[in-house]
Amino acid sequence: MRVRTVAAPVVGIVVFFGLWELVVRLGNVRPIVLRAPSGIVRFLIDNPRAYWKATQVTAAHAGIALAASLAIALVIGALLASSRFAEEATNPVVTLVQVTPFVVYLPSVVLWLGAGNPPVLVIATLVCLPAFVFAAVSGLRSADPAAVELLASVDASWWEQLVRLRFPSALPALSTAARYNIGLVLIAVYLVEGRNYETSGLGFLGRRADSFNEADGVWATVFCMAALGVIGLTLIGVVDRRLLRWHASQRA
Amino acid sequence: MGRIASLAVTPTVVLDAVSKRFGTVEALRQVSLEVSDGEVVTLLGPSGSGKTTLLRIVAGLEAPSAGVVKVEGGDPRAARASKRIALVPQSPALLPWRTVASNARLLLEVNRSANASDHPDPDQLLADVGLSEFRDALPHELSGGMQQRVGLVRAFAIGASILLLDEPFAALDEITRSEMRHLLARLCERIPTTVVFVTHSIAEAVFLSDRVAVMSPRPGEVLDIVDIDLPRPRRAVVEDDTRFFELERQVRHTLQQGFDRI
Repeated sequence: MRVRTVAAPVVGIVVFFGLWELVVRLGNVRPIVLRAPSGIVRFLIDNPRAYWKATQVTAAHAGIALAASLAIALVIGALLASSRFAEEATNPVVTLVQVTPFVVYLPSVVLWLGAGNPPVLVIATLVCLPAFVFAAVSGLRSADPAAVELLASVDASWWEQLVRLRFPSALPALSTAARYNIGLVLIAVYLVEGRNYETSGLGFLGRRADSFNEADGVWATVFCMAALGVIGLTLIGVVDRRLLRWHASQRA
Repeated sequence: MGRIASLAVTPTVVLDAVSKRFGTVEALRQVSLEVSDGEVVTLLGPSGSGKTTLLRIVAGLEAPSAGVVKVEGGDPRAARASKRIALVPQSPALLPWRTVASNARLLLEVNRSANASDHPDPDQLLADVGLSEFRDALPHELSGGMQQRVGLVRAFAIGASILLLDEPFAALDEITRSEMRHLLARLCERIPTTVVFVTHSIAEAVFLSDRVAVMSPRPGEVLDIVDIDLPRPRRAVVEDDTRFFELERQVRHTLQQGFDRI
């Protein structure tokens, strides 16, 4: 891993928090409006175990949901990419999933699946699905037509074309979708963890802190979420450099 | 001469009154042509004369609207399924995430049950075309000519009896293009194959072919078939021969007749 890969996000975070701290201190911003990052960090340092454990739970939820969503999207994408009719028939449903605020159906899912992990995983998986499906379909279709014809010229099967040509062609689009979904999945997990009648995860800590008007506690969960987001995006960057070293985006 | 005479008895590719329409567009009209075993036949014609369509029909990738196509006595799709046809497309169509060596093996890795037991070794072929040092390179690290050399290796590697080349050198500069036709001639001598070659280049057609089928502008018809009686093996020096220039002129005149008909 290059030094820049680690150093650049750190520099960005330090500059951002430095400016934030300056605005609060120099602007005499009231705590009820905006907390200073130094106070939030102090709160985190005072309660390390609770936040560390909650961050692990949220990371696990987000990771599993993201992986499940990607796997499901690849299966759906492979089917849709091979049939325009199937794609056009499915598009409205995928769009419905995309535009419906999941807080609307969250209570139903919790009632249906019960408290705990299942509703978190199901909703977070659903939330990530549209972006992955759209990326999979367009990515699988983006395979070089000359290469498609070349494989057809030796009677390669649908599966062989999919594995050797279409999946690798879809990787750049899937990578972009994964970056977009990192934010979505963390938000979904956070919100469902606060409403699934469980006592774990950053979402639960945030909701509890909010109910006690403990603003530093809420912001502490946001800091942990941000850290998870940065780690997630860094991991995608590392995977991209491995799997997409052939792609123009990695050669600039 | 002996080669062509003996092979005329058992044509490898037979096109009998083949026509092709795409909706209202008539791409090919009544094309008849036979290609004998081991023969190199070039389809030469202007853009839109249906050369690529004809090649795709021979490859079993396109069905004719009328007429009969036989490849080794049977349906082209059967020849395709049994990997008796190797295609070299216009663009190299290398998979950018695969190394040179891996691209060279690509066609051997699919439809494996149809692989010839005695197919040439891709690594040896890469050495033959001077790409041994670049085995682990990715396609974007190669020049256009090198990429197309990998494309040739990939096609020869499956050991197909019929090689179909669709303007493989069209995107290359003149110097590289000339090197590539000399390389292709050497490969065809070393690995005997029936070749159908599509090109816009008269020099390429004359240098590589036993016969040149000159096609008219759309709808594509075979205007004439010019026998190329240059000696084999063909080396670059043959392009300085007065006979080469005569044949070039003959092909050019035939091509011009097609334009004059418009």
